[in-house]
Amino acid sequence: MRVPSWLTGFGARPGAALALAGLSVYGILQVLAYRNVGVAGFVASRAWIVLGAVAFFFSARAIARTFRADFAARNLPAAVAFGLLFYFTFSRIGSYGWSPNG
Amino acid sequence: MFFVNALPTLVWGRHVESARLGFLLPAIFGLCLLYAALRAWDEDVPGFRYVALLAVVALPTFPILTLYLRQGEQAINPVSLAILVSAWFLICLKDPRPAHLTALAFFAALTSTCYAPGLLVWALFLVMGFGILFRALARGDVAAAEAWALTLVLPLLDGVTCLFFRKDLGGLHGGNSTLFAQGQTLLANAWKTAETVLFQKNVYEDLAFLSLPLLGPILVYLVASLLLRNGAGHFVVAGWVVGCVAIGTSFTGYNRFAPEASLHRVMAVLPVLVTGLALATMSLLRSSAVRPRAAWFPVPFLVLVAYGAAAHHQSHVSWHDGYAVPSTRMVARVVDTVRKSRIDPKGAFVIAAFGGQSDPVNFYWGDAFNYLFPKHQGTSDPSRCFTNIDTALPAVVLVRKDGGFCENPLRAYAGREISRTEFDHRLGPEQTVPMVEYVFRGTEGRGSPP
Repeated sequence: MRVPSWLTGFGARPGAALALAGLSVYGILQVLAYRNVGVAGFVASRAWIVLGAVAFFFSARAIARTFRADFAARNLPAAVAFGLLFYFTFSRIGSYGWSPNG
Repeated sequence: MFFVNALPTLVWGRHVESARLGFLLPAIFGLCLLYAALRAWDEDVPGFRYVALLAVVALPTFPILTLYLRQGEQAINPVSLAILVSAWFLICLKDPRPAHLTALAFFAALTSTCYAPGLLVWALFLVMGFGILFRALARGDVAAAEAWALTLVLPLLDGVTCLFFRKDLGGLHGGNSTLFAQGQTLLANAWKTAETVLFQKNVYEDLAFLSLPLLGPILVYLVASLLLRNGAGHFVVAGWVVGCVAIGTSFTGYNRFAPEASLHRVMAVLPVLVTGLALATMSLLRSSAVRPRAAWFPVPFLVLVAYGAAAHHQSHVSWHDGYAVPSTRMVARVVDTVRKSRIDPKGAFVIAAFGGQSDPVNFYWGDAFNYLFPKHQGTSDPSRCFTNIDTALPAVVLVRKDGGFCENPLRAYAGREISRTEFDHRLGPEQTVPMVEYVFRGTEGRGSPP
């Protein structure tokens, strides 16, 4: 049985540190944007959108892979669980005119 | 984070639904991701997928969470980010590729830019991140240490910048020292808080904080983790949960709530608790060589689903009888009136709502109106009426019919009335207020011509 490792295989990825160094540059840009320095705010806001899109894409991909695997395996409990979750949270989300208390 | 909250209204328009979805969608998206992360955690043990699923259905069984999920309010933001950061943290522990670490850094950095309790999640992330970094260094794994160090830079810089410059956090001029001085009330509130949490007393709008079916497992998890039975990571999480509840109920912030009502500020501990409980359960099952079977699954699943449904119903009932729904009704009415009267929602106009002095939010909800009509001028105090308001602009005026509010100042709009409508504004099951709504055009050349 494979026990999850807290530190696996990162060193095998070439250029990884360089890619992550971009995050640090962005962090410094954010600080400068807070202080209204030059065009830092303009650049940081665009970089934020790009980063957000990357984070959203990889999140959506991870979710899609899991749901696809569940679908292929006919994981009925997962379908029921998420069906109920979506129903209870989204039903009557725009409601403001009706009260169950009469 | 508030840009993310605003996205649905940009895409689908300025409606109550899209305003609420902006707060709800990140949480639901996070729940799906947390399920994916927990599924991947021990994917070679098929039975553990049931634990992942139970964790997802467990979260909506916390009554206070169900209320805030639907309410469309900023207090849910730290919860959504706690879910997303927990999920990405688990994914990165298993597969720390740059794209994953980037996503983790992005969501962790957002925790310091939302509602102030998001900083609790930020602090936990830093402690856990630095823990892994030092562990990597101790093992001599330079590449992993480098990766985690670079991942920590962005959230660290963002958080420290916010602590120094965000005015609501005190900024540089002594606000934070005042905040920490409030810690002296911490011990005095300890019993009140423990009593509220453990005995399912109402926190807010007749709703409890903890999930009743999970009360026992959570207590066992917290005690075992604090006794270091689950390892260092769980010890940190359990200490953080207890610390957050103590701090959140003792520090006042902008508003001074009773300790038990302040618990809504620390809802972000709940998804982290559930994640910790799920991981500890998997560890326990793995070490005992017990493999969950499909036949065991339906009972806890149905109990959690039934309790979650009951919690949703209760929060729906409480929600409609609290302030949020009467206020939303008024906001929706003004949105509709502005649209029908063809007043430019992005231009300057007046919203006056003179309903009463005791609870003006039921008539004039400043936050909502400022968001939906950014250039509007608002007034709701019957003792000030139209003071400092440009009465030459178009206006939507809502006055309590039997209140006699601002009758003389209303003459400033004489001859410009477009419509007059009487309606009943329901504040709760037993209280209805008769109101009159006037729509006035602007003077020549002022505002959009309706």
